[in-house]
Amino acid sequence: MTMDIALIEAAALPERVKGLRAAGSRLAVISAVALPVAAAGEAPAVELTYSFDKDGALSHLRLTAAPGQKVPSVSGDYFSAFLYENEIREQFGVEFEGLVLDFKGTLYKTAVRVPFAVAAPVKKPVPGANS
Amino acid sequence: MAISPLIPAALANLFKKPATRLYPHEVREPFARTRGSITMREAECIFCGICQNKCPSKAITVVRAEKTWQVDQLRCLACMRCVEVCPKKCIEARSARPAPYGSDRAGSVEKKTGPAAPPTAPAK
Amino acid sequence: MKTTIVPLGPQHPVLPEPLSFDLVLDNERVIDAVPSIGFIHRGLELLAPKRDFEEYVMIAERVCGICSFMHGMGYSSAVESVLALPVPRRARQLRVILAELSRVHSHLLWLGLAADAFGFENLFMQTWRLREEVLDMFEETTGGRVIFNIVKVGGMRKDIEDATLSRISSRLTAMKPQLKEITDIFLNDYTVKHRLSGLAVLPEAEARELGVVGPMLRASGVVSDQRLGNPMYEGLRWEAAVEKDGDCHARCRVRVKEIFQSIDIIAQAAGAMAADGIAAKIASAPNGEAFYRAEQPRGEAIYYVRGNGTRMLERFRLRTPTFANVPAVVKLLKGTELADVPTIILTIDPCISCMER
Repeated sequence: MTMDIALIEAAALPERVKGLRAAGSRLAVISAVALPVAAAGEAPAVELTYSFDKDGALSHLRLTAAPGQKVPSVSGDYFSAFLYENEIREQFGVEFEGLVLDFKGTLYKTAVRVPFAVAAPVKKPVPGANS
Repeated sequence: MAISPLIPAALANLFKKPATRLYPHEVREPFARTRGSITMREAECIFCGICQNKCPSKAITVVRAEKTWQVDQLRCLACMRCVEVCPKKCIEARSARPAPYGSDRAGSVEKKTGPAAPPTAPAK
Repeated sequence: MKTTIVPLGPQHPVLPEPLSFDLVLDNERVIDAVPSIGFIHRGLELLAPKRDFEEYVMIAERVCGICSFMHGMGYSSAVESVLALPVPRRARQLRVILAELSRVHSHLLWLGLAADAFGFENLFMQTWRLREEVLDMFEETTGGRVIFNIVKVGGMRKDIEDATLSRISSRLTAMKPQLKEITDIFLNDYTVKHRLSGLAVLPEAEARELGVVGPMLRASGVVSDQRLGNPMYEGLRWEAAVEKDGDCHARCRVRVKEIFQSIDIIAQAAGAMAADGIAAKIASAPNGEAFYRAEQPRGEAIYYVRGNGTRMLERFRLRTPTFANVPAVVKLLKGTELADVPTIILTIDPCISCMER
């Protein structure tokens, strides 16, 4: 299945989102995947995918947030993004700047902080490579 | 002001049979396909342990050396995966749910022992 | 201006699942509403890398009781998309029939809860009496009333005979007069209209911007239904139920229309069943990513699956329709009266266990 994914930098996000909003796209979902880490216990880089729906067709913007990098929030343009971004912040530890409604880490109150970041897969050594 | 059409229906309901059943005095027959619980015919079991591996809630315990098979009915989801994977087709799906257990869970573990149990196995 | 803060929830007689709003009131008028969620968060998405991808269907089904079948179906469809696995036509038709039956069940449940929310308990009981017949149909075909355990990656685990399907279809058609009697009350009764009309109006432009989905979007005049263009529904004649008013009564009308439409779809599908098998064999592990969108009774649900070639998925993300609709409730509650708050919360058809898997 071919997907329309555009890889962008975090800095380019606000402009692209404003353009999509002016064109009448609807924010469908913001997904996050923790990329594999080199050793267990390290903070992972998180790949964020913003999916937009226009007349039934999905298009995506994808950016990778390095550990500790702040990503600009899109909740100023799309109000519903506050819920997605708060959830991603609680589960993955990605900080968003400019959140319209900030729960400050009290959305889910899990026993383990940032559980998805803690459970990030560890990169397996490539078979055949000698260290 | 219009009279709600539900008022004549509500008055008629006063004279009709109740819509509910007096459970547990009146129990409805389960459908043929209802996933109620499982049981096992121990004469055909070979104690291979496949059912234990496939059980998603780890309700089945098989000890091959002692030829025992037991299912914790309170953990069993009645998903019937064990029925599908059993090579001897000796696990049976029942459409009736087991009767409720007390807070001490007495009787919730159904244990079966194989026919040729070794002499050192504990008595059933 | 002196304000009072009244917490609504997390336990409330009207809410089917725990959801909390801190309502800032000026006398009886709501000025602001602060949501709190997370009471039923079980972390089910974290289990995806820890379970075999074929077994994970059981967990996907158990995310929610009302939307159970479609979650299993959406997850399976997303994985089948990654595997590029063609599912036999009969399996797809069976999925359509059970999905539409789930929709009938869910909308009947919602109608009952909505009646309970504005105090009409007799109507609530009558609607749920009809719902029992639908639950009996589920038990007869799949073995369970709430969790079906019948969908798997590649198709369906069990077949349902054509004779059973046509019997179910005729029972549903026979239910139509009773359904009409009950839904006419929702559509035409003076009290119901008084409570629901003009409440929580969501204009079309705002509906698009807030990202609401499902009957909320369709009641504001937007034609958006994930079943349109879905290859599973090809060959079936139906129309998306759209209303223009955008208030609570319009959403009620949309859902009522969808019940009758679903009964029609089931009749069409049951009369034209293929006979080419119910499951495809899985030859490999999923490697790649895919988005799948299903039309749940509450709206569009997005299933995102990413596999890395092993038996356990790397990521499974489920964005449920209630998650997209809750920000709209936060906006809609402002300016309304305290007595209308439960009705507005119920108008999005909240399924909190779905929202917070």
